[in-house]
Amino acid sequence: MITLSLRTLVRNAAAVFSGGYGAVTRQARQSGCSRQTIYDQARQVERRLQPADSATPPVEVLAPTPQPSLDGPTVRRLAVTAFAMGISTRQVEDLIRVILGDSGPDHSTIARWAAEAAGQAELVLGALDAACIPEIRTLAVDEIFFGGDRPSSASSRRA
Amino acid sequence: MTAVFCDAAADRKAETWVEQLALFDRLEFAISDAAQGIAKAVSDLAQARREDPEAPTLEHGLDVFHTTMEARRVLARDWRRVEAAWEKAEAADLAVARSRQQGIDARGVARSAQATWSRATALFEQAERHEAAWGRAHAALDLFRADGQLNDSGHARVEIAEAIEGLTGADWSKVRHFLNDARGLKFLDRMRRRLELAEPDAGRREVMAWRWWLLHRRVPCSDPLMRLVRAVGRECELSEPERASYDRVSAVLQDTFRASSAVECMNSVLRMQQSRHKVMTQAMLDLKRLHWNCHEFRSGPRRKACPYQVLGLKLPTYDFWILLQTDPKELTQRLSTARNAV
Repeated sequence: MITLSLRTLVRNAAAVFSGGYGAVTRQARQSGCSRQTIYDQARQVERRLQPADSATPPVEVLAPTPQPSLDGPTVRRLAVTAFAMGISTRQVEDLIRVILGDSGPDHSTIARWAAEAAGQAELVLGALDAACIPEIRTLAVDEIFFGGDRPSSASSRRA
Repeated sequence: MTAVFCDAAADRKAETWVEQLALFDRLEFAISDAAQGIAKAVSDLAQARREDPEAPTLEHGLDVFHTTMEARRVLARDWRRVEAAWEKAEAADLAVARSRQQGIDARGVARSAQATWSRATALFEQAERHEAAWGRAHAALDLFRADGQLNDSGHARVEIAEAIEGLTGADWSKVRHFLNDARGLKFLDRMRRRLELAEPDAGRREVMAWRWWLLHRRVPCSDPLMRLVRAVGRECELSEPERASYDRVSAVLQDTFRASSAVECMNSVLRMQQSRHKVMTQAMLDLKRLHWNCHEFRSGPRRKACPYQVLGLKLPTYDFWILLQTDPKELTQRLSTARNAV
């Protein structure tokens, strides 16, 4: 049975859920109980506040949906955009297969599309960078290590 | 937030950085971490600019982001130590209780429990001292003081010097080193200078900055009278000259940067992608950079705008795919016409 005041109980639970370093220890010290007690109380508060389970909904019978069709340029756009967002060619291939089934492009085709788009991006960026540079007053600069064929050292890293 | 270059260079020497940075002939302020190559490159460029009376002054600011990140890392370690010691002390208490329950002589375990509690308490108090000292140093790195007054490097230096006294121990040496670096407060000097140009009247400048603080920070206040004063400062109608003054001050404050979190943001995207791609070529970096600069922010103060729009670049479209299909020569022509029109 919980004998603490509601306020202390809520504070104890808040210390756990806040996730801050030292929050539970600090609260344990303030409320004069152990850290384990505070964790137990947080679980109790969580259980109390959990909404009651609603009745199990009836099982839905999924009607077969018509398969969407994407035209060639849209598939290419999807693949290149996904690659530019950081998804690998094999992952893009798998994702497109979810939509198009076996008629989707394979990863080597996607890689070729991405390479063509990257070549075009270089030219477009040439024009855009020339327009951006005169606008720049503040610049945040940083280095990131991309790996390389030489052993890394302070002065020979690829940056 | 615009990624203006992303170069897969062979090294990170100062000369390599100079090549990149020299293109930015209107650059006034470069922010970075403590990387030596960047620091030397900015210093070399600044020196070259000093010899050219028409070139703008170039300053180098130390990134607040890395100082904060390091301090949080050390604080987290402090608190992990406290929690481990606290758990040990609680376990020692249990051992005492068990001994007493079993009728065994508990004096030995009680002494041991007392010692573990002393250690846990000492560590707890030390972590609290460190947290408070860091809080003070961190507050000194803000654009405003806690009461809404504009911060300045003199005040910040005093606050930091006092805070550093509380950041004791070898773990904090890196943070102390960052905080002692004079470049860390350059952004405050620059902000002050630009505000003086934007609004020469000192009184009006302070008031407009205070209004900006009220509108953007929403610092809670328990005093009802002060809440009323703040509401008036925030809501009162401005005359036309006052509005113009506020807009100028606001433009400077919005354009004052003290952290390279934008570049860290870009780095985190690239790091995530590095794990999925076998190699990261220059062509891939270009594609990703173009996509980044065209993507629309979904939340925050730049919501519904892409980095190119935030920079003020007027483009026929900001759509990544359409831009990619654009003829570069035609794009150059259009951008040049737009620039001349301005």
